Amino acid sequence: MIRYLLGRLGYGAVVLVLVTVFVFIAMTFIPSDAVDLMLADTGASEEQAEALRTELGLDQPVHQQLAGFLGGAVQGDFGTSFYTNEPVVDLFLDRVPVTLQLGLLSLAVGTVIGVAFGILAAVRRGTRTDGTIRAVAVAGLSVPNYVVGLLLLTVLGLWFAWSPPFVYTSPTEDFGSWLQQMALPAIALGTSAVAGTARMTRSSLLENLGSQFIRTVRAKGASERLVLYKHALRNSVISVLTLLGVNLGTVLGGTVILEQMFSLPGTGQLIFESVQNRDYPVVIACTIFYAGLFVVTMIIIDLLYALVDPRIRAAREAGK
Amino acid sequence: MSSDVMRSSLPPAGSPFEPPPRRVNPAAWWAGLKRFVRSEPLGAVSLALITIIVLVAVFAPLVAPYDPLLQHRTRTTEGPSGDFLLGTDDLGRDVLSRLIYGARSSMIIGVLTTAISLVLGTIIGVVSGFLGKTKDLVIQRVMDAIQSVPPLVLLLFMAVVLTPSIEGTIIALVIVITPSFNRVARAETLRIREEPYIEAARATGASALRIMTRHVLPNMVAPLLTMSSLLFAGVIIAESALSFLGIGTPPPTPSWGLMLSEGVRYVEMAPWMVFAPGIVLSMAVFAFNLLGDSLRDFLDPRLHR
Amino acid sequence: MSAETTIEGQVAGAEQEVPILEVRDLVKHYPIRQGPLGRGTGSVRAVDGVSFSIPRGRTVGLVGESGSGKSTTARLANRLIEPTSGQVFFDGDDLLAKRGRELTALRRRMQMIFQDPYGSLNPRMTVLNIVGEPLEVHGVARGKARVARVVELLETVGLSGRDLYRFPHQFSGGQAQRLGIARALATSPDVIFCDESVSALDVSVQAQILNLLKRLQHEHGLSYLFIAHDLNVVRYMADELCVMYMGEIVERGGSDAVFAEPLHPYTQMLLAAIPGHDPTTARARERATARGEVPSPSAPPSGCRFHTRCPLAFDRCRTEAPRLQPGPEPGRAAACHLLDTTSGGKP
Repeated sequence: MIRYLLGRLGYGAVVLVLVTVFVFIAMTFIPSDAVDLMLADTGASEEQAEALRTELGLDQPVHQQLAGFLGGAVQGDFGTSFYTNEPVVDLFLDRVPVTLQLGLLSLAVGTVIGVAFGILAAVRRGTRTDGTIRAVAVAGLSVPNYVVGLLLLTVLGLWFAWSPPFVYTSPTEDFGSWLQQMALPAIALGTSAVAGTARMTRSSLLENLGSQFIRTVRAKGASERLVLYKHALRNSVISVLTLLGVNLGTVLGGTVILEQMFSLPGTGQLIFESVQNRDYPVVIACTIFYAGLFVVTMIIIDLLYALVDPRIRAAREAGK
Repeated sequence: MSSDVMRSSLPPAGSPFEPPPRRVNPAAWWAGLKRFVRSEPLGAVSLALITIIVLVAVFAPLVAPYDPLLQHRTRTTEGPSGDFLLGTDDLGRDVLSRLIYGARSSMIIGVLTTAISLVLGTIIGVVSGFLGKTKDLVIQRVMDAIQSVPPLVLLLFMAVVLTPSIEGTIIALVIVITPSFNRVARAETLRIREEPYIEAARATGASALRIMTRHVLPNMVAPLLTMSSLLFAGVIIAESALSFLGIGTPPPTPSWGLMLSEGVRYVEMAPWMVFAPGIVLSMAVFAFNLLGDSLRDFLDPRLHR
Repeated sequence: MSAETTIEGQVAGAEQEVPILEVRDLVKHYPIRQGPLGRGTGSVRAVDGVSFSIPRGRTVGLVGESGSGKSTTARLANRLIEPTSGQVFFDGDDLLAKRGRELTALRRRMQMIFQDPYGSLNPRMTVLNIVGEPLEVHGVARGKARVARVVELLETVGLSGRDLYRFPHQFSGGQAQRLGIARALATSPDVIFCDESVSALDVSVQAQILNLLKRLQHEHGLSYLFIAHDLNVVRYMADELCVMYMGEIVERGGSDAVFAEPLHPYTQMLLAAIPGHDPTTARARERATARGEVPSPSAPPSGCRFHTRCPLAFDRCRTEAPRLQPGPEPGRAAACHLLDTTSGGKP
C-alpha cells in the first residue's frame, strides 16, 4: 500500500511539473508582455519599464524563468501578485475553502441524485420509468451548468421573488445563510454529474444482479430488498467511485463560472479576476494549483478505490 | 467438393471484374441510415434536430427575419409578438435572428474544433500506442498533464495567452479537447495492434505507416465517431461559457453565450433574453449528446449478436 | 519429383543445394517483469536453441503441444519477432542482418498463412485490397494490372473475380482461408509459413485446403514450414518432421520414418494420443501413456525437460540434458538418453 501510494505521488509530481512547463511555454506566445500592459496607462518611461522587467524576471529566457519558478515552488514560493503584492499562495489559500465547499457539495448532490435515479432505473428496468430516467439524465447533462444556475436564479427571482444572499458568510458563522448561498450553485453544478452516475449505477447494478454471486444470495432466501441494498449496491460502489474522478474535472471547472455568477469569493473568482487584470503570476500559479487540486483528489479517489476493492488492492501490491 | 468451392466456381457474370469498383456506395449509406433510424429512434430524432440546426446556421441570412445587429431603438426589451417571435433585447435587436446567427458561431467553432482535435488527437494516440515503451509514456504523461487542469480553468489561462477571437477560441478549445481523442485512439490502437490481421499485414511486408493508416485507423472509426459527437456537445458548452464570461467570441457577433450574459442583467424585465438562448443552447447540446449516446449503442458490435 | 533430387542433393551435391531457409540455434527468451520498476526476475524460454532447414520445394512439419514454441519458431524464422540469438539464412542470405528495403525485398519472398481465417483478414477491407495488399506493398502491380492479378489469384485458389468487392465476413471459414492463401501467393514467394492454417476449419474443409496447398506447392515449387498440432494433417503434408517440446526440438526425421518408428518417448506419446492411430510397435503402445501436464516454461525442469512426464525417465534424465543423437537412418535424430549408444541406451 505504501509503495503504491508513493508511486501515485510520484506520478502526480511528474504531471504537475509538466503542467508548469506547459504553462511557461504557452506564456511565451503572449504578443506584448505584461509590463507593457501594466504601464500602458501610466506613461512610464522605457527605463522604468526595463527596471520593472528585471525586477519581475521577465527579461530572462523561458527556461530560466521556469527554473526560477520551480526552485521557488519547492520552497513554497509561487510568486507574488502584480497588483496586491501578496504572495499568490496566500491569495489562493484564503479562497480555496469556498471552492472546496462548493465542489464537494455539488459532487454530493450529483452523486446522491444520480445513484437514486440509477437504482430506480435498475429496479424498474425496461419500463417507462427506466426510459424516462435515461432521457432526463441525458437532458440534465445537456443543460450547461451555468445555464441551470441562470434558469434557477431567473425562475426563483421572477416567480418566488427569492434570491440568494449576496455576501458570502462562512458556514461556521451563519450556517443558514451559507446554505442559502451555496444551494443554487451546488444544484446547478451537481446536475452535470447526475446523468453519468445514474447510467453507471444502473448498468453496474444490473450486471451485479445477474451475477452468480447474487443468485447464490437469492437462493439462500434473502429478500429482494436485502439483495439489492446490501449485496448488489455494495459492489456498485466501485463504479460510482470511478465516476467521481470523471466528474471532478467538470465540477472544478464549473466552479469558476458559478462562483462568478453567484459572487462566491472562491479560487474561481480569483483566477477570473486575474485573467481580466492580466495578473500573470496569479494566473500561472492558479492554473497549476487547480491541476494540483485535481491530481491530489484523483490520488485520494485511487486510494479509496484500493480500500474498497480488495482485489484491486491485492493486484496492486503484487506489482502491477 | 462441398458448396464452399461450388458457389464461387460458378462462371462469373460478364467480365471477371464487374461491377466496376465504387469507392463510396450511396445505397449502402442509405441502408445504414435506415437501420440506425429503426434501431435508435431517439438517435434519429437527435439527427433530425442537428440537421435542422446545421441548415439554419448555413442559411442564416435566408431564415432570419431581421439583421441580427439591427437595433429597433423604439422597441427595446419587447416581449414575444407577431413582429418579434422571441421578443427583442435591451438594444431592440430581434432575439430570434440573433439566435439563428448565434447557431453559426457555435457550429463553425464546433465543427472546426472537433475536426482539428479529432485529426490531432487520433494521430497522437495512434502513433503513441504504436510506438509504445518510453515514447508512449512521455506522450501520455503530457496528455495527462493537460487533462489535469480543469477544462474551464485551462480555457481561462489560454484566454490570457491568446487574443479574444474565433481563432483564439478554437486554438484554446483544440488544446482542451485533443487529449480526449488521444485517449480513445490510443486505447483502440492498443486493442487493434493485437489483432491477427495486423500481424498478417506485417508478414506481407507492410510498413508501420501503412499498417497505421490502412489497418489501424479504419477499425477505430466507430468509437471516434461516438466521441466526436459527445465532444462536439462539450465544445458548444465551452464556447458559450467563454462568451458568457466575455472572453470568447467578441461582441457584437451574436453568440448564445454572449446573449445569455447580456440577458442576465435584464432577467426581471425581459426573461426571454435568458430563456431563449438557454433553451436553444441546451437543445443543441442535448441533440449531440443523444446522438453520441445512440451511436455508441448502434456501433457497438457486442450489442448486435 | 523430389525423392531422387533430395537424395542427390544430400549425398552428391550438398554444397550446391543451398536450402531455401535455414535456422541455426534460434533462441527467444521473454523476460518476466515484476515490481514497479519492471526488474527482470527471470525469463520464459519460448524457443531454446532450435535448428532446422527447409530444402527447396519441400515441406517441413513442426509439431508439438500448444505452448511448445512452434508458432514462435515460425515467427522468428520470418522475423516477425526478433530472436534473442541465433541465425536465419534465407536462400543463403543472413536475414537478421537485413534492414529497411533489403528486408522488405526478402519479405516478398516469404509469406505466411495464419490460423484464424477471419481474424487474419482486416474486416474493413475488400477482397481486392486484402489480396492486393502485398502487390501494392512490394510495388508488383498497380491499377488495372493489380485487379487482374488479384482475379487470377482468386481463381487459383478456387474463388472468382465476382468476390473482388466483398468483405471477409461474407465468406465461409474455408473461403476466408482461401483468401489468406491467395494473399500469401500474391508476390510469388519461395517459402510459405503455415501456422495451424487448417486447425480452425471443419474437417471436410480441411481436406480441401490441404489439397489446395499441395497442388500449389507442385505448381509453383513452393516450400512450406507447416505447423500443426494435428498429427494426421502433418503426416499428410510434411516431407520432414520436427517434434518440439518446451522450446526444443526433441526429434526429427523423414515424416514417414518418424510415424513408422518414433524414437523419442514424447513422440511416441503424441502418436499414441491420435484417435484411431495404431502405433506400429507394441513397445510404443505400452510406453505411451500420457501423464501430467506441460511444466511452466518459466521454470523448465532440470536435465531432460520431458523427464517429469516420461514413463521411462531415469536418474541421468533428471540431471543431464540430452543432445540430439543421430538415429538408425540418415537424417533422423532424437534427444533422448535411451538412444545414447555409448551407454547402450540403458539406465
